[in-house]
Amino acid sequence: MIRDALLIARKDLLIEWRSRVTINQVAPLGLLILIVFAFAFDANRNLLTKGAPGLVWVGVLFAGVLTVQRSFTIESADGITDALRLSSISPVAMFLGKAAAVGLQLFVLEIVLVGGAVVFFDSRIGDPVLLIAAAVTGTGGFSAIGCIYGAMSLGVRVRETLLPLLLIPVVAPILLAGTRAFERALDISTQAGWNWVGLLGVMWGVYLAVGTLAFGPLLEDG
Amino acid sequence: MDHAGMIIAGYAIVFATVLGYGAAIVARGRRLARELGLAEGEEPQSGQSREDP
Amino acid sequence: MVSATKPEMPVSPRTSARMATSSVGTTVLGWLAFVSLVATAVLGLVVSPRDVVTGDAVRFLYLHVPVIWVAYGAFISCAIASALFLWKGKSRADRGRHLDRVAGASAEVGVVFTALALITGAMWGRITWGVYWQWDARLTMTAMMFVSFLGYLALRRLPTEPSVRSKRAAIAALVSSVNLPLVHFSVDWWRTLHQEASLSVDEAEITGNMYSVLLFSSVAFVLTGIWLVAHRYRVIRLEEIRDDEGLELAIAARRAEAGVD
Repeated sequence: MIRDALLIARKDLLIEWRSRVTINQVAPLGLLILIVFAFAFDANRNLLTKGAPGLVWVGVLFAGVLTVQRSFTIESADGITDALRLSSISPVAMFLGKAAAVGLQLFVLEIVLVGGAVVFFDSRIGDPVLLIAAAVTGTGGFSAIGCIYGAMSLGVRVRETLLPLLLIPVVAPILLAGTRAFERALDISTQAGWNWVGLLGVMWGVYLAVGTLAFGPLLEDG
Repeated sequence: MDHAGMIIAGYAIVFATVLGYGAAIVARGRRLARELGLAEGEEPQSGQSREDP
Repeated sequence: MVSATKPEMPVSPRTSARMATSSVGTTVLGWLAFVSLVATAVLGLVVSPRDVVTGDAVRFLYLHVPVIWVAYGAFISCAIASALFLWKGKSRADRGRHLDRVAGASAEVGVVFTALALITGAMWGRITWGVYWQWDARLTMTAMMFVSFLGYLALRRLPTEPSVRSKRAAIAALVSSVNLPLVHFSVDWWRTLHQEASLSVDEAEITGNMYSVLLFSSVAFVLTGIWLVAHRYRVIRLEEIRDDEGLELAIAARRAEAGVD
């Protein structure tokens, strides 16, 4: 099953790599979000530095919705879902594979966004280990729950608007916990940061469990 | 009553919404029942609930 | 289209006199709910005494608290019906249609009452705290519950095959329900760390008359909620019958066309 999951992840990443949509469109969009925030806050450097963790996560949120959408568009476009169902790959492996592929893309995106925050918002990375841990657990949870909703909106014509409406309220706690952990890692607050990483880990586990249970029924005759 | 405006507005919003929502459901049900040809024998009962919340 | 062809349309065996949206039971329930709502308005606005601490603002208690209880109850009913749908739906004679309708009707009533709870809560907060909104765990969770179930209703309205739609909707309802404690917990933790003032500082002390009025208005709103869910359920059922018959008519029309050719 792990091998099948890796196979799916590899397939998704290969498609992404060949089309370069994430690199050429989603990542620049994330940076653009950071720049637009600077306009919105009148380039007030203090405010931007203080808000950087939240702004980075908002960027991840929007870019993440696009990445999930993209990941399931490539499935439905060529009828791959049916093909995969006919092959002996289990839905659980499909779920884990897709979540891993989305998570890896988002993680790369987060590195770009944190880099953007360092350049544009004058953020200082005080605790790189905490930063990476929060990024990994946060994106893990996000991609897991994102893939559940991605499968839910498969084959739906209004997906572009439906997916964000369904997904954003559900990922709100990830945004909150991720922001708090980043605040500590970027030396903005002195509150404990690892608690939040723990919470992100718990959410990741919950969403993985939910996805493992729900992905099969979602793909059946859908 | 202090804050009378706010309090009365609050009551008005709640009751208007609940009554309006209920009326909309009943109206919709009656229209569908008529479309499907079910309401003829049911007229007295449906009629009674017309002013219902 | 359906009404134009009604005369020759046979009423399917499932449709009986009980199918219109009211029955004796719900008519009685509806009137009870209506009368008790009117009484609630009178009791809450006129009869109830002012609170010693919060003054007339306490009158919002009789709206806000029952309304949010109905909303929570409706969402719990939606979650339970959704879970049963996924668990037992396939083995039931009606393929879980009944449970799906209960979930849909409850969720819609829950969304309406959550909206009312948020509005009355904001007004009440404006009077007692001076602001419309506080970022405390319960408020934030309620707002998230509201948008989650708006999304759920949007999912239910999609033009896809009913069985697929029901399954997706049921999963969405359950995921939202699993997620709400996470929202509550994380916001709670966040606000506690920030040492914000607690909201319960000048909450009214509920005693005597106020307690009875609150109890009465709770009963009134719960009755109303049940009545609304029952009627919404029947409207969903009628809509399903209309859709089925519309499909049958379309197929019949196709057959007739093919026969002519």
